[in-house]
Amino acid sequence: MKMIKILVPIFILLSFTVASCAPETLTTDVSATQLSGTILDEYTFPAMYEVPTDELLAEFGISDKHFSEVSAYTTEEPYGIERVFFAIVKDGESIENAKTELTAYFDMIKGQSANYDPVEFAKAENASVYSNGNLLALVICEDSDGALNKVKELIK
Amino acid sequence: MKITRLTALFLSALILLLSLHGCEKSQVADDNSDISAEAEIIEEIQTENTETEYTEASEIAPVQSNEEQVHGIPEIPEIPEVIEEPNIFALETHETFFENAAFVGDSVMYGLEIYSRRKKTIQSNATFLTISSFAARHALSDVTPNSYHPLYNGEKMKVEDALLLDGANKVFLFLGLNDVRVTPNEYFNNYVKFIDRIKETTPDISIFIISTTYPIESPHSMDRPTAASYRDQLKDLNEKLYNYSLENGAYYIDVITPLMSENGFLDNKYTSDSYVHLTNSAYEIWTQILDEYALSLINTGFPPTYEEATDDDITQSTTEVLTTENAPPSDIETEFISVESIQQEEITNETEEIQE
Repeated sequence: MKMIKILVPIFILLSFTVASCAPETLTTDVSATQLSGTILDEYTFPAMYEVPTDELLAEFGISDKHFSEVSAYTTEEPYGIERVFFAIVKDGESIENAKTELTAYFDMIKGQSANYDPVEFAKAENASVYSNGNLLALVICEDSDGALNKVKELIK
Repeated sequence: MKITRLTALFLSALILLLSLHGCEKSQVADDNSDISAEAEIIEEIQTENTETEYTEASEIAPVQSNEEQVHGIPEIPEIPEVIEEPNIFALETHETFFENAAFVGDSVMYGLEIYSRRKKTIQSNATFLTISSFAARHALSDVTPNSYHPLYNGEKMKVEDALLLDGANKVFLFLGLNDVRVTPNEYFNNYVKFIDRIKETTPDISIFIISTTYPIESPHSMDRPTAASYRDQLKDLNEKLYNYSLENGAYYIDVITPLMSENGFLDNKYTSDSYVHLTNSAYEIWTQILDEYALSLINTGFPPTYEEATDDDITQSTTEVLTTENAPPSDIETEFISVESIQQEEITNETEEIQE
């Protein structure tokens, strides 16, 4: 009996700990294309260029080999800071590796914008690379915070 | 007996020759007009050959003077020998011209890389060695984890080393925007040192210097006097680079003239960030200029020529007057036009005052 009294709290405690450590998983079946479409529709962007997968490395510094689906946009005119990136990481691929690559790219363009227009830099400052389950996302626009919250809402 | 006959024959032939010589002398005056005309035609043909295509000097038929033609005495041709270098681009095609080329530069050059890749222009086949904020002083520095050097096949390295590995036989350089304000006394020297390094590593490479571009007149990030000072330094660099290219066998490609406003800054319609960076429409113009330049070199061995501004052109904007690539730094023309306009205005004002 004593053993049960000791083990039950430990079991409950362990359950909570394991649950909190477990990776968040994408709970909806929203696709990368749907997410980018919604964000582009609801937030302000200049004319955007849809990046083909074979140009992903050149445009975003990340290979498409990580992903089963990618939907990525950058500005039609060179040097615009706005970006929309949604990708579903393939089974067996590490989302952490993909996130590291995308973060390196994001830091690079943020650093570049710091040298030029403060308005553009502010857009990048308020953005961040976001991951949830096998979803990897980056949105840079005038309301980067609001766009990210919208993404979180969409994948609930 | 035989000797006597031979002597008689020899004397007869001598008398005949002397008499013929006398006749010919009297005909020289008549023949001269025909010979002169013939010589003119030959000279015209030779001039045409010199201007249009490379002909081996030995292939040019020597022109004999009137006297030579009369006497048949071979002499050294009187026309100056034209020493022509072979057209090193003659065997290139439009495609291979850029396949064998590398473009080196800063974020503005990176913009060309983006444009050419997306639009699949012929320049997209070239190697691009670009990094944002790249400057000549960076190109001269050693490679370190924090240094500014472009990547070649994913590896950060000096431009000259990348060119050697790449095997490009042409390099297009675009630097200056990140040099002039940081190193006001060194920007030109650093640029030349950088070119020298490239020549040391790859002596046979052809150097193409793309004129630096200018900021707009009123950028978001700086006041007008600062922008004007920035532009003036860039203009100075362009003038020096133009002269350098003339003296050192490099090719100077003017891309700023067609992009300029009437006040000599980058026209607002060609900036994508209200500062120095360019729009796709600006790169479309770059691409046209590069294509024309390449085709001219392939076909003639020479850069495209440009039209000098005439009095009639003065009323037009500078961008309309100078439309070709090898023009000298455009601001010389701009200032000329501005001075002329001011003088014209002063004359008009004086006339009005006198009338009043």
